[in-house]
Amino acid sequence: MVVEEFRSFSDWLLTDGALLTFVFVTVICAVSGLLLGFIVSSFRHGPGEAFYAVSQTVFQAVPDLFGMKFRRIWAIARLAIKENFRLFVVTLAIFVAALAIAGWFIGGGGKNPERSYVAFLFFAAQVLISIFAVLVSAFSLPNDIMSKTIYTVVTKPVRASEIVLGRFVGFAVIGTVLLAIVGGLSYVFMVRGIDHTHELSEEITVDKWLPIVDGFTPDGRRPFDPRAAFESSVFTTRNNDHVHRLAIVQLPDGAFDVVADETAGHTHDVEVVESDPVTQHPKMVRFGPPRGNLRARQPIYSSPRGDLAALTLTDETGSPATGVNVGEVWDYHKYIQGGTQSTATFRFSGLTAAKFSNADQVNLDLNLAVFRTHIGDLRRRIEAEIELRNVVDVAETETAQVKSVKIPFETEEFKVQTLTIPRKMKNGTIRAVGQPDRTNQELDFFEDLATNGELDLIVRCIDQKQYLGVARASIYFHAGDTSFGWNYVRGFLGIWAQMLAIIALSIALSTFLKGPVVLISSVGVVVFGYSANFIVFVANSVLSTDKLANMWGGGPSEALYRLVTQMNLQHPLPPGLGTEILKFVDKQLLLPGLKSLSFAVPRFENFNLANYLAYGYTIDNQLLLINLLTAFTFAAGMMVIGYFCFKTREIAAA
Amino acid sequence: MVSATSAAPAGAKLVQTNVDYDPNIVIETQNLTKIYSDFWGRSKVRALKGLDLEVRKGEVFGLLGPNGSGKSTTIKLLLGLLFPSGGRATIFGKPTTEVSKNERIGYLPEESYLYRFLTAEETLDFYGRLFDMPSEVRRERAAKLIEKVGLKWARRRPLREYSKGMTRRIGLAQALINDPDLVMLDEPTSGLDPLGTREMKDLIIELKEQGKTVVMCSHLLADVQDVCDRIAILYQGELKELGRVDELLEVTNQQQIRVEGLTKDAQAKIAEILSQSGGKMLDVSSPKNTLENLFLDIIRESQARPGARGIIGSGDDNGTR
Repeated sequence: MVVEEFRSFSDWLLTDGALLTFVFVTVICAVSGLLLGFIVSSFRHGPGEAFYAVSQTVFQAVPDLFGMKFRRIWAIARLAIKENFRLFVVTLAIFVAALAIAGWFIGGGGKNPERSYVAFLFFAAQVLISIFAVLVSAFSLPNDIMSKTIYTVVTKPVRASEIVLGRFVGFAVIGTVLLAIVGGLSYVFMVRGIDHTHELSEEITVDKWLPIVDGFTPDGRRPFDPRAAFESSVFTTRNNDHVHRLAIVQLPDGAFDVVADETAGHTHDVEVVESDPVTQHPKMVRFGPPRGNLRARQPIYSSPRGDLAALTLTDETGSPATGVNVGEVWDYHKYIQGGTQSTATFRFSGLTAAKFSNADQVNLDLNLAVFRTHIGDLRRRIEAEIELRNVVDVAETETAQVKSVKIPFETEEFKVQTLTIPRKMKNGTIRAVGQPDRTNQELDFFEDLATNGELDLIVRCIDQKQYLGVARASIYFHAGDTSFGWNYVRGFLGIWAQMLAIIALSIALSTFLKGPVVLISSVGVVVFGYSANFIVFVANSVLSTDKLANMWGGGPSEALYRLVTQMNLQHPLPPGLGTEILKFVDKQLLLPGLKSLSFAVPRFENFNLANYLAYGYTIDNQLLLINLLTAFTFAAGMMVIGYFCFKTREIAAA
Repeated sequence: MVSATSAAPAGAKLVQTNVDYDPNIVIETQNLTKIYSDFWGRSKVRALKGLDLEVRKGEVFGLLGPNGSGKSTTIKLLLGLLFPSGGRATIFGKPTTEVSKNERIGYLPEESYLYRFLTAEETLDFYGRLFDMPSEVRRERAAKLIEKVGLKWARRRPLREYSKGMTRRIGLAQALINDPDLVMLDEPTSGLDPLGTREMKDLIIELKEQGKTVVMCSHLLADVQDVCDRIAILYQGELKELGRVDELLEVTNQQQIRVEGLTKDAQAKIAEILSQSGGKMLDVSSPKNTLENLFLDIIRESQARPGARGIIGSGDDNGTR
């Protein structure tokens, strides 16, 4: 999985400027609101009265905030729930129908069926919940005002703050219940869809055993299990559009065990139910449920240490470098050259035994890319090696440099490859100042290498003229797995956060706009929020003074001009006043304006956490916290705007 | 009592200062003006022009006038549903925009604007919650009010299944859920049958007897005449008349004598006496009951003795016909 952001909550809040942005946006909104209120009131009553009216409205907000009663808020919330119960049932029915139809198309087959399931289910849930959130919150208040039922409410001792907050609570509750049911149904749908087992297609007789010689099968392949003594030519029966190959592993006590290969992103536990009474060769086996497809890995990624980056590279001479340019390919991976001194150093922190579910062996997951300049040995993959080193404090001259033995491995592209490192490693080297190197030392991973939890991991590509692609998320220590079900709930928390933001937005708009206008405006803001990352990217690119950073096609108005005139992106615009106007509008008005606005709405794209589930990673607490705080802050802001708009609205004048 | 009618001065400003609160004055308006404007703030309609009014504690006050005279606008201004363009209005000494004033007010709108997906019980429970009432109090009041408005048999039916009259009754119940000191009724008899109308009027009188203040607006003069102590007549946003009903309706230059069992001779003698005193007998006739009373008597008798006919005129009654 591609991971490009490794922000901790504190980094996001302070270093990345989330807090500063919040303060800035709040101040801008407050000043704009006061100015707008003053101008409107001035038209009606004159400047003197306007000043009085505005300050009175602001000061009345204090009792309206602290005088709120839970019973009144809950009464309005209950009303909102009852009002929308029918829509709740209809939405649920649509989701169930969507599941039923999807069941025809999404099978358990394919390379990674869980990814298809998660992608579809999250997309369906997100779209449906978003539509539900907009519909319930966009029309409720305008309908009340239009039908005048609001008269019997505002003539009771109900504060504007209670009306706005009560509706938010009501919609949030009914939306949460809907989301919980949708989440539960979709989870059951996915687990049932993926769950399957196999039978043996035929009995495993000895003539079906293919011996592994010198690490290769008779047909020249590497065995899928490096421990395997034999591979079997017997396959499982086809189920969910795939079969598994079997391997026979001879255990140290001489007994035989059968393992199934990893196909379609999973394997099965295999239990031997019948063996040859004389040779103990397994004949019949039973397969368990799929294992390995619904998981939630807990990665420990490299992280910056002081001034040093989390990942640094050296070139073929061992000098610091930014990686080899292998051409016009996606720049996520940086490449190191094989067979040279080029290395990639990953810096880890917080590696303590307590974090690992099994501290006797440490799993290192690799997600490396390969760029080949020649075919090489077809039977082998690109070879590489890693080396682990402790971190020597330059101030502490007595600290010895401890290095593990170089651990070779063959890269497996397009899948997560796991290297298991035993806690006790042999053949380590300890180099202390003023002392001869001590070689062949037994090292303890946590006590000798990851002292204070810090460790450097160096990767080299061994094959000459081949290149190894690395990114910060390419190598991580796999601390263990958390519950997939719990991770699924966390994924839905992202949708929940988005739902809250949409509800608050629509309620705020509905305090001064009519229902259909609220609907369109809310959808517009959500689409804008989804595109915010892209808008900022385009703005930065077009507004950059670096010519190389400028993207083809220019800003929105230039793009529109090119679309209408069917002009190629690279073709320069004709010189003249029109071009100057287009560029002025883009660079001075539209892009700076859109970029500024993008900071006032949540990046809705970031609420989608489905990729973590699809690729089997635990959703980080910090990321979840960032999402939830973003949604809550936005919702709170919308509530305040909604309150003032509703408070200053003449209900009966509508 | 202020009875002057004055047009709003040009450019009337919203006066925000409060005055010392007199507990006997429930509602007070001074130069209250409402101008409806368009989106750009341009004046469209002057719905209320400089209204000066006082409503005292414990009286039934009627706002009369034809459609568009400003009755409902006045009520909406008093309730804070509209903001005044000029002048000031207070209820219980508080500005009309103050939310806490609503704790002592019950409001029955012109049409019962209620949530049609709620049942009668749920409706009253909802409005009770808005008054922050504990559940026991809500339950007790709701049961009592449902009984009072005669909807016990339909208390669990959603309001969408209610007739107009039933909706009106539950609307009245919600207005009384907080046992208010001031009841504001906008066209209270609208949509009610004669029996319901009478019950509504009886209820208004009952509220008055309980010491509550009632403000009602209506264009049905008979209703207002029956129950109101004082009335204000509005026309095109201006106050045209204000005073006690009995005083306003009194024909001061005519007298009416009602006697029973008078012979023809006695009638002639009375005419002669009147003639000697400079008076002139216009008419001597038996007083007539109102149509409303007759209809109600018939209905009541029909309910008491189903199937019987002509009961009222059978001669064994109290001579109302």
